[in-house]
Amino acid sequence: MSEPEKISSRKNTVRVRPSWKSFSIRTRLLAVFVLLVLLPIAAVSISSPLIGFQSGQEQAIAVALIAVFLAVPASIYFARGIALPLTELAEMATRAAAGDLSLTVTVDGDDEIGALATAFNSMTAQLNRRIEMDGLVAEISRKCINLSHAEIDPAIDLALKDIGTYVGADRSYVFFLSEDGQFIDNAHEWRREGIRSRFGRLEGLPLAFLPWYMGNLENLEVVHISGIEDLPPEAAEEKREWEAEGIQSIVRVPMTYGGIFRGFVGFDSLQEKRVWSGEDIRLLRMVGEIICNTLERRRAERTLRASEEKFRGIFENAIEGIFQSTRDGRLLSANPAMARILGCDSPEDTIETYQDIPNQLYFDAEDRNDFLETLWRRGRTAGFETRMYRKNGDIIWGSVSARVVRGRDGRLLYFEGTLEDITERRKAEEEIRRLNEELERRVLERTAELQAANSELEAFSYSVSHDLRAPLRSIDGFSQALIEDYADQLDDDARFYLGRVRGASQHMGQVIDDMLHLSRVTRTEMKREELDLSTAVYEVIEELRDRSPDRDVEVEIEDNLLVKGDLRLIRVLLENLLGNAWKFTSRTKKAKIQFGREIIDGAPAYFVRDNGAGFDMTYAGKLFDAFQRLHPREEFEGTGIGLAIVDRVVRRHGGKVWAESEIGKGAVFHFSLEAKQQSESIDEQQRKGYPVG
Amino acid sequence: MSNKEKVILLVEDNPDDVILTLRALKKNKIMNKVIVAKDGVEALDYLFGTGAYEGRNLDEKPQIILLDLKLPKIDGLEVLKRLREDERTRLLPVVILTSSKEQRDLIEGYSLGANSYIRKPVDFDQFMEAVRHLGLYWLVLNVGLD
Repeated sequence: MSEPEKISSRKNTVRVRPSWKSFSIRTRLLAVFVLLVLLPIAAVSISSPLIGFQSGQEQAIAVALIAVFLAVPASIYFARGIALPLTELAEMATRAAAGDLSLTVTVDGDDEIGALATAFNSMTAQLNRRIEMDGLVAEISRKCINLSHAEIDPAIDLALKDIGTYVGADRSYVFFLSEDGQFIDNAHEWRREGIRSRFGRLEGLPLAFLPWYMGNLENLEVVHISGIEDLPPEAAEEKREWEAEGIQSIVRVPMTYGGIFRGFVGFDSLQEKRVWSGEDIRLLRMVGEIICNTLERRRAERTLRASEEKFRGIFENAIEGIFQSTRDGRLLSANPAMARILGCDSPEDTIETYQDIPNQLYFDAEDRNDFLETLWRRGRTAGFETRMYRKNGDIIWGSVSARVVRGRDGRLLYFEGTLEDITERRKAEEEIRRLNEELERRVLERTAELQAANSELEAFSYSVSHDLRAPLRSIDGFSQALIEDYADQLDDDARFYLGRVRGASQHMGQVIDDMLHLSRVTRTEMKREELDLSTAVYEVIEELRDRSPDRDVEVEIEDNLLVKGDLRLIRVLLENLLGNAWKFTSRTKKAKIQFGREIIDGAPAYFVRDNGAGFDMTYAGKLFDAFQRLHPREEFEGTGIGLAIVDRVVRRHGGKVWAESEIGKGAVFHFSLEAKQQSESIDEQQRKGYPVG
Repeated sequence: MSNKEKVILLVEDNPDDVILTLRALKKNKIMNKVIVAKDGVEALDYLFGTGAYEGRNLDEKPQIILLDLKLPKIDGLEVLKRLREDERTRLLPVVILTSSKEQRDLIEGYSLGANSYIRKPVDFDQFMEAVRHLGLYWLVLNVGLD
């Protein structure tokens, strides 16, 4: 970088006089020698014959006199022409050394002294400039200290203006890297009047934007371009961009923070092409440093403040109490919730109040020991529940979760954790426990009552089973004995009557058995399991066929009907329904029985359909009552217990049974099982792709 | 078919049932001597030679015991339990002959070691049939231990 002529011409006063002083000092000294030595000698030598100096002594005196005569004006001349400028120069140098650089030495002529003065002036100008620049930097630095966040942007704008103006750039600016280092923003800009702003246009640029110069900057190299046309071929993009902007010369200096690239500062020249000096770059570097530090400080402070605010917010607004406490049982800090839970006026009040946690806070001091033990063992506790005193002495239930905080050296610093008031929850739990106990007690009572009722019922059944049947056996047995042993003494009527007696007693025996059966269906314990209704139907039908091999009945059974129920009871149900269908088709030609499933009112219902005798719907209401018959016994045998049993079984499964019929046109019996199971079955059906509804 | 040395012990409190059972046996030509005990105590006395049967020759063991369950004093299941606990009567064939077909009676009867369980039907014809099978099996076909 060559010294800019512009600067020197601007600051120095140069006067050039057309005099012999433009000759060098040596020439002038020679002239003085001639004047003071040779001239008097010559003069005396030439004039001595005229004046008549007799002796050489006289001549010498004359020479001396002339020389002395000439020396006076010569010395006056020297004093003015050499000694005086030198003295002046020396004085200036002294003053400059003392710090006064505003001085300019007048340069007369281009002799050695003139050159010396010029050099001196240049030196002071440079010193002056450097000091000026340092002053500028110091001023900027001073202004950037202790700024509030809001003051930083104007201060940087001002600094850019100052340095831009100072170096005579058209534009000065700062580009600052985003926090994650992914993007770069044109954060600040100053521009000379009349220069178009690009501020706001260059924000959130990816780092790969204009890769050549960004690459250089990232490598912490200065980008210094005095002529855009001189850009290397790899900077084609930069060239295009900068030419479009009308930039002629550019200088950009990387900013670093902790040795890491964080952005750059730069000058643009648009109006003229210029070579940037080392001083310009130095200025950019120093100011860039200040700006970068300022921006980084603000960013760090903002991040810290945001994080502090976040945690402060959590701490202040938490519903749970948050605390720090010492090992010996003092509170170090407490949040408002902690104060509220413990009934203190403020966190400060809480800390003051609880100076001895084991004795003041814990209802059971042993609990504190347990708490500490867990902390030592595991480094933390979670949901440690204990009773504690509030400030006013009330007892609450608290749940403490805490951890041990240790220093770098592993030394225990304090405990920190949270406290939750679980008094209400505890109360609720207590209430639930009480209600449960109450419920359990009542269940036990009811169970005992039921057991008593059941055993009564069982005793009754047992008695019926034994005692009611025994006389019937006697009636039947002795009637038979009469018929056999006294056959010859009995006429036809007597034998007929005895036959009626036997028939009646046998029927009564059957009724008793059916009653016992019905009661057993009610009493028996239910075991719900997954079972295949279709298979059960096949089995019952097989038994019916075995019992009456002469019957020819067409049976249609839908496959894979799975239900949940008690197999034994379901078997009883199917035996009765299918048995009925079998029985009531006994007088039908081409008897047909169907079993399947239909969806009725959105729930599956199973059906047994026959084309048998049917019944009059007028009496359908009595159908499922015990010992109700819709057909004379001579026509179809039975006690009328079957459908009552079916009804009991279905009810015990949470379902219902209903029938439709017309005399002579057969009957259909529908039954459903537990409601919940039904909906599951529908889902299952849909999964399996059966049509629903 | 008959075997007069073989004794049948009928434990039955209902006199009608005694008569009808004896009749059924007779009708089925089962001519064995029948000892009737009217309650559990009497049955045990006979079996162990106590009470009214003090000094009875215990070598004379019944070929079969027909045991009703619902009995005065000591019921049938208790009788069964006691004679199964005693070495002398442990292996005697016992057929429970009762009105009940309650599940618990059946289960307990068999678990106490009953050899068979017959429910007395109301229909005398069916009872005759049951007794015929019973006599055929236990008095004729079954090979005893003596």
